[in-house]
Amino acid sequence: MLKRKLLRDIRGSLGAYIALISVLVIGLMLYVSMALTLDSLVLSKDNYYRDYKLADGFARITRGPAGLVADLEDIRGIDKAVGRIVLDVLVNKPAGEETTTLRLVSFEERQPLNRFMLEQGKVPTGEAREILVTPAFLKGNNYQIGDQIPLIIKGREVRFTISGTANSPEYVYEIPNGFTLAPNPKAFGVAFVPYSVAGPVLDMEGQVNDIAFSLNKGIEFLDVKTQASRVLNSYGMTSIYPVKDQLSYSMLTQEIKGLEGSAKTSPMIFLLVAASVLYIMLRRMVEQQRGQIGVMKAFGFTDWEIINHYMGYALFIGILGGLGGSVVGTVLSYYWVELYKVYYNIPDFTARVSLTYLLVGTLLSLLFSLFAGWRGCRRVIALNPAEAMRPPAPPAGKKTMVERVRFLWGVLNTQAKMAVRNVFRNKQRAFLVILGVACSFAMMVSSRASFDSTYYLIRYQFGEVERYDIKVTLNQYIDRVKGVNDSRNIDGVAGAEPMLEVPVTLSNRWLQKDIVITGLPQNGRLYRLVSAEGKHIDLPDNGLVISNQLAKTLEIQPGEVVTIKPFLGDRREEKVVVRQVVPQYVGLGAYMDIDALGALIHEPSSTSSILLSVDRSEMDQVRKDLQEGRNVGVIYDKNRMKQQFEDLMESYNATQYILIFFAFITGFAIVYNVNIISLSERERELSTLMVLGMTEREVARILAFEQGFLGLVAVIAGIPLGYGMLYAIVNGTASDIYNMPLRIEPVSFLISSLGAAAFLVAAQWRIKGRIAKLSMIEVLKENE
Amino acid sequence: METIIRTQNLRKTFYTGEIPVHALKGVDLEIGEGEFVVILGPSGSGKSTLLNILGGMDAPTEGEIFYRGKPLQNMNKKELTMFRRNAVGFIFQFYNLMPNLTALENVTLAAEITNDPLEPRKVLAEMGLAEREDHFPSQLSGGEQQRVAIARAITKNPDILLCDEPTGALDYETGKQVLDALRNFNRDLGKTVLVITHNAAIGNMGDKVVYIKDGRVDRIKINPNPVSASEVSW
Repeated sequence: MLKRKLLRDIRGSLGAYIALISVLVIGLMLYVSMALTLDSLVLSKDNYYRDYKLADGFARITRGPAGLVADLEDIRGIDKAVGRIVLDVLVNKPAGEETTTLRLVSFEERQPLNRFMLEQGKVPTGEAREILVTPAFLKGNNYQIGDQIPLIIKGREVRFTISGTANSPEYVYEIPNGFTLAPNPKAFGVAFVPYSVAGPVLDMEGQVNDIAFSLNKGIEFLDVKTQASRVLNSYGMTSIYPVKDQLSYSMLTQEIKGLEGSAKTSPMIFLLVAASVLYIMLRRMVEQQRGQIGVMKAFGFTDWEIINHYMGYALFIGILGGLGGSVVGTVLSYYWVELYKVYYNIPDFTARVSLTYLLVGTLLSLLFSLFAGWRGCRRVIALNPAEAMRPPAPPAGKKTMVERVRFLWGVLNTQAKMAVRNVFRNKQRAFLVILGVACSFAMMVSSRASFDSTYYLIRYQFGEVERYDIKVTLNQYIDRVKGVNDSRNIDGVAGAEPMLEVPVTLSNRWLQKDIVITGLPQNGRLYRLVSAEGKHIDLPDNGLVISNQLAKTLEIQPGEVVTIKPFLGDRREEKVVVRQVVPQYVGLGAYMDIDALGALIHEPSSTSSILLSVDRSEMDQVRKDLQEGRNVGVIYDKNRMKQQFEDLMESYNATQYILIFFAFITGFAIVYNVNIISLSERERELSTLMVLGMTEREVARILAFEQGFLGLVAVIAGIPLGYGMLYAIVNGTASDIYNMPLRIEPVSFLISSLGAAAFLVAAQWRIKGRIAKLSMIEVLKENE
Repeated sequence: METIIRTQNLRKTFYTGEIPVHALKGVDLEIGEGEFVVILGPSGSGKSTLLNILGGMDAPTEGEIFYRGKPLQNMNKKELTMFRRNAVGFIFQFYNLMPNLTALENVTLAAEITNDPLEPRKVLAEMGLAEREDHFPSQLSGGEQQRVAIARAITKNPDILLCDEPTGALDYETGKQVLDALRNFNRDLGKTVLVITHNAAIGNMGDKVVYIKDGRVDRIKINPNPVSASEVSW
């Protein structure tokens, strides 16, 4: 019989229950979908890395004999080593089309490390000029297996036939360098070439320029770094790094870390909100039904039976919310996985139904709701039957602290005074409303602000710092003056500046990091350093300017002396003063005057890249001309990169609005449920006001004033909370490759405030409907 | 004497479930301006229903009711609200004060929504509550609360005061104080007061006593010499 009462009670306030269950469903859906995706991602990644033998360490050298791997394998701790030829070449395309760089990676039969996984077609035999490309590259450039790709190698066109497609654990995230934040198959792809073909074609027969090695069990990268460096230094080593710093590996690790963080935090907000609202509802219900409880007790129901009955509501909500959320979450994980697969090439990465998470989700939901339920209805026990059947003591009016602010209090009319006192009447509830609204506001702010931050990063990096249009990376150092002059002679080039990039090991005390120091000319216009205040910084004559992320990583203060050891020349260590730290969001940047940097490596007049500013209309022709240059390695079109980045953000936009929508639902659920509860408690008061001659609008206004007051407080509290959430997001995703600025645009606050106002108004509007249904007569007949 | 309220064949039927309940079965009544009218009847006689309809809180199922010649049954929600707001003052058995407003604030709340209110503080003082104006309802006795409720009704300066068992929840002495306050309002300001009660002794105070029985006016007694509250006893 009590079950029937339960179902009828639920039907009686269906709206409130639906709102509550929706919040639970959202929380669990987020949790289950993220956890499922995460599990699947980690599992497929680990399998992939293991099965295809991703190396533990990597090194780049200028060139060396293929036999040097034997020397490496002799080092204690190193298990296997492979040498490869890795070279970026351009695809020969008609003028006007996007510049495409293809990274040729040589392979040998039965290679012990960094194997690729054949997807389609067949592995090239090594007799013809055949290559394998990644599936993303094939699809993105509309190639078919069997097509020929014209590549520009050493200034000549060389055609390769695509014999099939393959993925490699080394290029799960297929980007050319740390400045490229997202894969774009039209601009960059990876191809695998038999060593026997790559050697002659690339003029590197019997030689390699890229090393990968694995470690014996229990051996750390640092254990072998020194010895490996000693072997490789004589072949012009430019970098040596562990797998965790490998670009694709590190991007994927970051992503997993971020997803892990989100899976743990954001669902909890929803679950906590739902639990709080449930607590308020049940507590109110027990208060309202104390008469019934008294009767039940008088009949001889035990405390436990009655508690059981009230916990039934929590159980009902917990099970429905849990199952609903888990099921929707499982479905959503398919969408997440598809989204990830656009950017990450991991074979066997699929969403799957997991009974465990269905169970975990439902249990989590039950845990939260039963706990809230218990807190809400435990006072049943304290009631004795006779007392329970008597009405509760009337609410005592009290003056509030606001009244001490005399001038403010004096301005309010009596209706407003009543509203203010009501806010303070139930502090716990007011607190929960503020918390809930603040959370949902902060969620709106932070999900919008993560976009603000990224757009700010784009504007800063591509607008303020990088002022050039094209960066040409050269295959070999050339004379700076000649390089600049030759570039200026190309039709359409408006300006050219040199840029010298030198890989070094930078150490501060025992902390060290392999980075690239960028040498820039004094008063250069095409690549500028910008201070936190947005001011242009002049490079000092000597000494370094470093990015704040690098300063943080190596604990460097401006004015301190650090040691740099170039990977080039005689590798002599030099002491350099760090003059200034500048904000920078991409990479671990370090900058120096180009003359000073050149002197350091005994290449006083060299440059490794040329920055160009180009007339927009001449862009295609300039690129075409550059492609034909013999020494041209990579042609980097900044504007396309910027565009691509913006497109990427655009594609994530939907996620932003979905999150804002969830936040909206949550906010609405809290405000609506609490309003319903307040209304039921105050039916009598509100009816009296209507009898006195107040219109429904005036009565609603009193409630609106209360909600508005709480809403305002919540929004103000939500501002620091929003910053906190954004900080957590930014911090969770920060890495050596990029770190997002903390940036919230005023318009995001505006939109989020409007969002909060919208759910307050929506909830209020539903309440107004209820006020219209209040019966003055019914209510006033009853005793208090 | 001008007629302030007149009803004609007033009927009210409630439907609780399937069974119709005829609360009023054709009430004809005329109340004059400035009269002190007592409506007497046992519980369930329909007197509260009559009061609710007279106060514009409920609509009759059939029949007509005129306030100063204007038919209430034709008024829309908004007009009825304005009628309650400016013409009527209500006093309930259970006071129905706003628990989180002080005595003075409760009275002021009513004054704020009315066109031509009396000064709340003065009205409250006349009720003998000048000392208690900063107290909340929970800090006041039942009699004090009911006097605040009367002050709240009076401050609106209504043409007619409707009182539903105003002494029902009060002890003897306090009940008499409250009746005294109602009588004073009637006499001093010449306003109409309508009291419904099942307490026959109160009938002696009325200029006119209307006996309600089973949803009909049983009889009407005109009292040429109504007694004061102090002379009433029960």
